[in-house]
Amino acid sequence: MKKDSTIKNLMYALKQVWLADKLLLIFTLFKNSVEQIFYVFFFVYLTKYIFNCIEQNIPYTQLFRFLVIACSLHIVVHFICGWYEAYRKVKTPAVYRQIFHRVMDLSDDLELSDYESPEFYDKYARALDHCVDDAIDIAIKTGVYIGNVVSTVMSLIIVLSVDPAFLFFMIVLIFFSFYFGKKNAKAHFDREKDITRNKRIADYVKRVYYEKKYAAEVRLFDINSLMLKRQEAAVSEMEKVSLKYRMKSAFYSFLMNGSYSILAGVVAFFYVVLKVRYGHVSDMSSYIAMITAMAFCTDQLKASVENRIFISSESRKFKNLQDFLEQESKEDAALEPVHEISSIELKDVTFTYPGASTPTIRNVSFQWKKGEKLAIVGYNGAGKTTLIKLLMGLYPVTEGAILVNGTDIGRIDPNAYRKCFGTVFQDLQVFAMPLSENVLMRRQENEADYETVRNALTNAQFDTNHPGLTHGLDTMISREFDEEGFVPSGGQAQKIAIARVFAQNPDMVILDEPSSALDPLAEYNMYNNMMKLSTGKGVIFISHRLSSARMADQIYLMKDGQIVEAGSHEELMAQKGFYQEMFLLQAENYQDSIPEEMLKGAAAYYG
Amino acid sequence: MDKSDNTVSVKRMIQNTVFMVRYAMRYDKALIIKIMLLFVCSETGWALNSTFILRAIVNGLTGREALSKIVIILLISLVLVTCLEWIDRLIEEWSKAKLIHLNGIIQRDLIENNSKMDLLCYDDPDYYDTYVIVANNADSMIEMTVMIVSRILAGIAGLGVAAVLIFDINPVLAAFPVAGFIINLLTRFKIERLEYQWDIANKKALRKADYSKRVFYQPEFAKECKLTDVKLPLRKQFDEALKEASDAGRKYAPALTWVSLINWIGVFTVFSFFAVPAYLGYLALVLRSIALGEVASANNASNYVRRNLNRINFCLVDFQQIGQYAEKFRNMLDYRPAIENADGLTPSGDAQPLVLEHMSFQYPHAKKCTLNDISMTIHPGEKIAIVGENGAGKTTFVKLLMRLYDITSGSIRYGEHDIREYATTEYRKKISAVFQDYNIYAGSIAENVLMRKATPDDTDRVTRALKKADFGKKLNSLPDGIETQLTREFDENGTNLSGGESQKIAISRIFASDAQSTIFILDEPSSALDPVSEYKLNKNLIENAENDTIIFISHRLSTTRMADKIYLFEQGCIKETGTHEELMELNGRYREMFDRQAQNYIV
Repeated sequence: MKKDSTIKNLMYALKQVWLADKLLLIFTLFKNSVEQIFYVFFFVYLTKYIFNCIEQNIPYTQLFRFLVIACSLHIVVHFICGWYEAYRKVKTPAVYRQIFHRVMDLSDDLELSDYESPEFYDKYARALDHCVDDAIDIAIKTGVYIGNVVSTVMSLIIVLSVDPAFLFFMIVLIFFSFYFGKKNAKAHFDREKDITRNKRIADYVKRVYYEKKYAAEVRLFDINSLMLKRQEAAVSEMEKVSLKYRMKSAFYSFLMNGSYSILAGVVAFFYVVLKVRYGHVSDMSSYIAMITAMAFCTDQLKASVENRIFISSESRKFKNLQDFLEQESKEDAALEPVHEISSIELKDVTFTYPGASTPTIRNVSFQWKKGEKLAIVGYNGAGKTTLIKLLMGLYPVTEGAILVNGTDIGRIDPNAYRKCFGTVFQDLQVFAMPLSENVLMRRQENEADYETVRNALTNAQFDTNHPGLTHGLDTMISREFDEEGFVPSGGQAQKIAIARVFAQNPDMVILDEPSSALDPLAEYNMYNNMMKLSTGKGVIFISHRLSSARMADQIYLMKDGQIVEAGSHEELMAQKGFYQEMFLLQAENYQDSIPEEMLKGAAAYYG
Repeated sequence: MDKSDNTVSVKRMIQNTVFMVRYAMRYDKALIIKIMLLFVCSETGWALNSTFILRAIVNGLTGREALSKIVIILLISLVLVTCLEWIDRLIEEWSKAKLIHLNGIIQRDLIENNSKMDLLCYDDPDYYDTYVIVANNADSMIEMTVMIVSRILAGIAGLGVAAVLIFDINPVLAAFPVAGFIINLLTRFKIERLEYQWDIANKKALRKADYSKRVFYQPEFAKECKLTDVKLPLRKQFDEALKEASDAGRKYAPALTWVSLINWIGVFTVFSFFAVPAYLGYLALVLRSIALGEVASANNASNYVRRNLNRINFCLVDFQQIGQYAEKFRNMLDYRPAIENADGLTPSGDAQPLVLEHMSFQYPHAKKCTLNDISMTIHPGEKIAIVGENGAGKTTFVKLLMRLYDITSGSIRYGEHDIREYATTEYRKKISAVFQDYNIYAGSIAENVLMRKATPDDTDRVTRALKKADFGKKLNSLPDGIETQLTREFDENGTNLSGGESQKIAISRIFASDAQSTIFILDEPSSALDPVSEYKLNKNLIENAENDTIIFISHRLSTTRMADKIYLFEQGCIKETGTHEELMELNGRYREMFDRQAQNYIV
């Protein structure tokens, strides 16, 4: 069963190269195998031929002619190899394209929860990171392996044609190599498995010291005491585990390699000596040639075992890749496309994160109609961000239902649905692309697009005349690829993300703490612009600044995953509940004079 | 920089490599010598076995030696081979395991060294590549150096053995592998140079492709990918980068192929496969000067030499890489930080005033000053607020106060002395800070609060600090309390905190800081906090730091109101200064900001 899956994984890896470029795979296999096979000719056949010539006193010209032909052939092989090396450099990107276009197509179907599951990184992300090089490596090694096997067989035939008794040595060796090779591979696999955790710790510690984001804290705190001890412990554990398995490996491969050297070397030589002395052989030169032939044959056998281990352990990675790339695309036929959202209704929605024991959202119900401005406020960890993720269909609800235009969200085409939203997340991302593309989220096509970008940035309070923008709207964001790239500060990144919404001009706008890093003027102007431009559209925003919540038609206050208060600002203030408390706390310092009793009351309440 | 990489002379490369080996020896001399000895023993042994011993056997075959002698030789060979096989296994397995430990120590030393590099090294891509990245690759490069040097030494020892035999048979035979080796050296350097150029062009393109493709499967980008069309430009960027990579291949491959062909045909076809048998055949069949046994021995020996040279060849490729790396490594070791590790005075225990005079600061390579002519005095116990627009230089300002960078002109004095006169670590003990971009580390909550190893005595302090940062409620809900492991980095059951909760942990670092600290710096500490948490934080800060200096940056002007003094920054300069009332009176920028923010809070 295990063998089947190795072959299946190997085939899958080779298939990726094949689909990208058929010639690339053919030549990779051909070049690497033919090279090995050619060695049989030179080291075994030619040696034997020359020795025979000398023993039988064949004219030199014949030997010379033979050598010239053989070497010309070799030069032809070199030309093929040379051409192949060039071809590989040009065509390897095609393998990238093949695999990652599939990944890109697939990513539409992946759920957000897929990305967030802890296995995702371990299982897929790592497989995807190196798969192209791995696939090429496997193809090369497969070629070499084929060459090893063929040349082992070929040299064996030559050896056996001289004296069939050599078969005995080889059979014992083949048996040894499989038996100990397998044991060795297992020790190798176990070792890798057992040191993974400690290796991760050591790598993490290293990362803390060389990644920029940690640099300032590393200098201010005594972090060395925290990290170095941990690294030391991880390393010495790694050494201990490693040594244990490696000595085991050393023992097995000593038995394997030792048997090669002793059987094919010493014992076989002894046999040859005895045979020549007492066996009345007619062609002594062949026997002399066999001494090196045996060494060659065992080297090839050894290499084939090593390559086999390599191929089977490397192609194991392709199991994960295959799982990822070959997952079923979801059926779109039954889904209803949406072009416009007139209402979204949450009915008694409860949501528990996979693996969590308590629900994050409990029995939430509310309705949102087009044109309504909604604010969600509440405490840290109350579930506000989760709620909007549910609303956008990024997670399936655990209980209850979400209705879009009266239809259950599960029956709506998610991609079309999400296109209706313009969103700014708390943990927004800017991309290593030109500024204009970061705002448009597509390539700009004409002058009008630049105009859109400029207006959107201005509305989001981004200073388009900033001296860091050396190429205006075409300035590359981040220094990832461009030394002159612009690295936005937290506030500037937030403004870019807000500008996306202005440029997109969607039906529904969702803002998750869009102004946390903005200065007061930028915040004020941004909200004003947003409200002005979204007349007739839906807006939902989450904010800890209750002054902005006040602009909403309806405010929902969340606490421990539930909506505990709902209403307009005036209604909620009149209720004298949590909202009023929060608002007054925040407002007190903005009043011309602070009412003493209010402060005291708040202090007594929160202690 | 690329150019200088290429022009490190051979002599310098050898010196560099010796330097690297010596560096490794400083840590574990015995291990390095053992590894080298193992390599040399192994190769010498194998050389003996495949030349002299093989010759004796061949001679035995052709009837020149007595059988008893051959049996003795075979027995010697048996013992030798057994030992060699075990030595080889030690090289392969034992030495790799032992090197893990050596690597660990070297890495520990170098990351500690990293932590003493000035922060500027991280900001400037040039410095970052020359210092930080070099230090972090050092462990694997040192291991590689030890291995490669040992292999080359072993190869030379083996060649020596084979050379004796070849000279014994026919010195002319030695000319072929040597000629092959020379052609090889000449072409190899050209090949390496071309490969290097191609590699740089290729890597540059692939870096772009890698970035674009990773966005599609990295969790942090997932939301944007699902909700916007960002995939389209990224896909285009990806395709373009791949085309660039292909073009790089097209550009360098032809030249590379031709030089490689010269190399292969010269080294392998002509000088090994053709010249040796043709010459031996000539000697045996035309001149009749040697017999079959000698032909076989010479053939074996020259095969051995070719194999060995081939191996040394591969080592030379790595050797070149090491030589170039070592150049950077030596530069890195020569680096002397200007700020970190600086010796000097120890500030006295009492809080003292911070005085800034005409201070300016410019990032290296920047065209403009980030901060310009800042003067202010901060008295002990004063509460200072810094406000201003995004990008006004506020964060840079507090980093200068902490001496994470040195100012370009002017002065900052703490008490009697310029802060540059103090030992940096001693000076920083006076300061406790929360950054805007704080980090949570893989470790327990207690460790994340203390930022050092926690002892049982710390429990109280940590719990109190967390409560002051309003983390108390969450703490009660965690079954492991302050021992809860944060992040899933090491522990699958580790806890991931929300944005607001993480910020509270970062804030509690201030409350847990040692009694020595007298200056507290908070850079937008409450941006992710809900109003109640923010209120509690402000209240606790004021109560706990009555005698301490607080400097904070905030966009929430309700918070800055309680400051003794407010500085409004605009484009790197102080635009307005005063108390809240004074600034309101002034009717300037601050007033405008405050009114805008207050407008919707009027009850």
